[in-house]
Amino acid sequence: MILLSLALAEEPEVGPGPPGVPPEAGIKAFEEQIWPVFVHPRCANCHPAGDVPLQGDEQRPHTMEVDRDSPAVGLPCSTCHRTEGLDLPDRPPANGHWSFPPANQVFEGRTAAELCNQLKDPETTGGRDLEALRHHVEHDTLVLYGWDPGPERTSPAVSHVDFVAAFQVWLDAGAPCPTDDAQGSM
Amino acid sequence: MSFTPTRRTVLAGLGALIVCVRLPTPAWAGSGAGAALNAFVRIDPDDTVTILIPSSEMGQGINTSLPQLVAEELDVAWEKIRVEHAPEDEAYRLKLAPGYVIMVTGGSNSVKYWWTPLQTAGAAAREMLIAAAAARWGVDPEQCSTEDGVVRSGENSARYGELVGEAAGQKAPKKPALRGRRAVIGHDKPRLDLLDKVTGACEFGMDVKIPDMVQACAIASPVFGGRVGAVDDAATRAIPGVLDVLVFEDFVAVVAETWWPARRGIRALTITWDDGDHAQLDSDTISERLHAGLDDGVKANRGHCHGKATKRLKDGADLEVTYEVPYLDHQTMEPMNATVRLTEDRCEIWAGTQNQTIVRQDAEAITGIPLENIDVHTTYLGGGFGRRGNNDFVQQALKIATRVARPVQLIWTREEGTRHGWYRPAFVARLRAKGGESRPGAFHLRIAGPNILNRYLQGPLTKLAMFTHFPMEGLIETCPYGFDHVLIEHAAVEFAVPIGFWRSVGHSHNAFFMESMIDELAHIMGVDEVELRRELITEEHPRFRRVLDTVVEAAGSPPEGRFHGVALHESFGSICGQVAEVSVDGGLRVHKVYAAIDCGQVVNPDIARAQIMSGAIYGLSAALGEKLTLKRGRIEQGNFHDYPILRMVDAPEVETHIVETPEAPIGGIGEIGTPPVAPAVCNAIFKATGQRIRRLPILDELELS
Amino acid sequence: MKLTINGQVHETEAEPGTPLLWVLRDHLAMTGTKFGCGMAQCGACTVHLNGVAVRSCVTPVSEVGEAAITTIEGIGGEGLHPVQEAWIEHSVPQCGWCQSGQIMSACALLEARPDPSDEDIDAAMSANICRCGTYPRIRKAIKAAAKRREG
Repeated sequence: MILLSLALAEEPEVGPGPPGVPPEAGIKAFEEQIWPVFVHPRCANCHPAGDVPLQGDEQRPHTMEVDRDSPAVGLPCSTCHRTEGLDLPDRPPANGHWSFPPANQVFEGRTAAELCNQLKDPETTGGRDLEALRHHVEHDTLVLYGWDPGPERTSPAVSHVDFVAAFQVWLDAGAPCPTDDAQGSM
Repeated sequence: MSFTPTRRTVLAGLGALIVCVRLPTPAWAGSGAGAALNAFVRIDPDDTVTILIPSSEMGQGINTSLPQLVAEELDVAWEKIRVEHAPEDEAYRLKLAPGYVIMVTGGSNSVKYWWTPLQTAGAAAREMLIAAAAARWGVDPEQCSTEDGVVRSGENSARYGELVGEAAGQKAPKKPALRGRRAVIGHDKPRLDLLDKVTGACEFGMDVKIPDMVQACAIASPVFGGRVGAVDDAATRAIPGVLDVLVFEDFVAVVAETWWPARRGIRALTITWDDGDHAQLDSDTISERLHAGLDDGVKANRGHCHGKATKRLKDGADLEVTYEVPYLDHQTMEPMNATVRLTEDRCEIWAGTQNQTIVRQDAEAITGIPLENIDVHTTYLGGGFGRRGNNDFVQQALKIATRVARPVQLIWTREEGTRHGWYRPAFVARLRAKGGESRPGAFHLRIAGPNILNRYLQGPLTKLAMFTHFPMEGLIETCPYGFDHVLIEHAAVEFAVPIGFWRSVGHSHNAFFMESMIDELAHIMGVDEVELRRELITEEHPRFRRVLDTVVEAAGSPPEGRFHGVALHESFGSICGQVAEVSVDGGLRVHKVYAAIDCGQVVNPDIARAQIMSGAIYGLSAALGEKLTLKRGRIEQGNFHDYPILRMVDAPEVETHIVETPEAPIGGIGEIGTPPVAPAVCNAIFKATGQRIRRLPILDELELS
Repeated sequence: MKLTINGQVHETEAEPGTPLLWVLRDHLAMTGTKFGCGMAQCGACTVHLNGVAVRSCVTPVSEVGEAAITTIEGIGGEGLHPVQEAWIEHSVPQCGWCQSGQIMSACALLEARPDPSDEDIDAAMSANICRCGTYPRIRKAIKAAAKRREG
């Protein structure tokens, strides 16, 4: 196991994985089946780099002046994003706890390396450790929404089942992180 | 502008019907035992005065300004007044032309048209009340006076409510003397519908509830002119609440106990449409054909010709520019709806309509019920802007009613309304001009686009100048600029796309063309654009000069980082000048619109200001981001997510200054704020960025660094 | 199912998937809440659930449960809410179709932020459309209502 130290994050902690899951497999799983999901519009739209959520596959800024402060002026996400959907198109996506994550949980524009280190830092995962994160991506209804978003919205190319499996592979490999290309390969 | 009957019928006198109208609000205070003194005034024993208005209230405030005209002469306390929409009847029709007498609201003409008849009605009622009191007391009517709903003579006094029964038996004076006061007219009397509109109590068309009523939703061919082919309704009929699926030639309706299953039912239908002849129509083709109409080889109607413009331009122009504007939709906030109760021998219609007489004629044609057994109840309109003068949705409701045994309320989805509108037409314009020292040397403006009147009139009328000049409204007779060498002409280019009267109609594009082009001319001539306007406004148009001076003075100089653009335009008998204050800094912001208006006299200044604010913001919304596009013969837009309406964050302040010319004919208010705003904003954008916007909407064109 | 609306319990046989908007308008004949777009783009359908603004056109009635619904008919309690009074004082409504929703959204704003700035008003009210362009008067009336509530 080679520890990589990156400018972006503190030195991430990785433990030894179970025997038989090499780090390369973990990195491959991360790059090919985990990272693409996080940066897909269905996920990144509510994890934008700024204070305005994004809309649509084209990821344009949310209309109607909606932003991080909207709940503070009496307009929470749930005003329009309700609990259950209606059987009609073009309605705001509905999910039980539609809300904006904390400002430091940014997925938009993250490289695989950046995202990986971010996920391993409890400061940027709402205090979740890796196991809790795995549970979150497997069961949380907002995550699951990404694969059942209704008509005219795409889902990540990786299926949820494959995504969760890949997450486990990554964990079993000791949660190794890829490098940014600029830093050269391992 | 008004809406022509489908057949030109001179309706026989129907007498002054006192129809028992269903009350539009639950705030009715009258006891019902009073009497009508004429077609417009009814008084109850408790002194409540009900004024029946002949126009449809759609936000423009005529439900308040028209009663002010009556109240001024009637002499009653404002708090005693309530207002109702009049039934469809001869007394409420406008004599627009011989054989063309209809009850209709449009052309910003309600106050203008009804000023004298309503004042007369108020004065006549007052005289009848005085006559009744005089008879009761055995005195001369000359010895009686009135004050706030009370008749007095010496020691005697009686309230109107006490006298009205006897007053109704008095002879109605044909030419009562008008006292000509200004105790009510010209004052900010509070709107009569405020309480109901802030409590949800106001009854709009969609709010009407008739016992045993069913509800319906409808869908027509998405391609204009298309017809219904085959309908598979199995899934629809399985929806709980759905009662029936009705197939007509050109639309399909789902009828249900309540609206939601009807709406679901529409979506669950599988319809094969027969697209008809227009499935190839698209925006690119439309634009190409419009531009082809600008070619001098294409026949055009001349609107105004003076001097030798084309001759002077033979050797070339100093300025040659082309402008283009898109189809626009009305997008009233309340979707289209109508309610019909049809029995064997009666037909009643409840709708927010601007065109009651035609509704009644349509009902006769569709149901076979004779006219005298057809009642039209006008409800408050959740926005009209001209859209509710087209009766297509009412006709559908009537047709559905002929196939359903219960009363029917038809409500369209917003998508259906967007795709089946009567749009402001797409238009193009080309200016060829020569500059000059202080006046342009030549001005040749050619516009190309459809003539809305083709939808409504056929036959020999279409040869009249009144008809052929209609698309040039605002550019010719009412234009104050005296060019020395000018030609203004219009080439008709027609499409299958339905078009109609969108707020301010032809002025909406013609003001954009003219007022932008004046600025372009000023720029190439190196003169100030306000000065050029002052130079060009002829001596016969001092009111324009005053309006221009007023708004320019009010606007002053823009603060640092902001820029001013001006526009001046007459429409519907009134002059409106605007200065838009704009900044372009990462994005476009319209901070404020200064406006000055001269409409002769103003009945209610606060309502007038509200209407200018309304017209300007309506026009700004369109100018910034609205357009309809077509692909494969169908409108691509459907709802607010793809037809964006201006919102609070982008709304400018609007400051209106009223200039009165009391001796001038009354002009309109409802539409006049719309035409100047697009050119004023674009003229300001030019100052801010050097970019000349010649194509709307602005946000499609403006390059932001 | 039972629904608590403006403090009163109502019974309805509406299908659970029916939007609350249409239960109010068609099943309970409470037509103060309006249909504008059906897709939460215009705000005309705004009601409160437990005091929080909600677009009733996209809220299936099955979602409501025991939440207290407040509509335009009840926002003023026995009289008028300060927002409604301010709306009258500043002659805000024109056609009026959007105004029920505007008022309900404004009430939610003032609960959350009793002294809103212009930016707060932009943020809270830009999800309600007014085609008549009454926005400048809405802004004025919100500020006036804020003062009323203070006093």
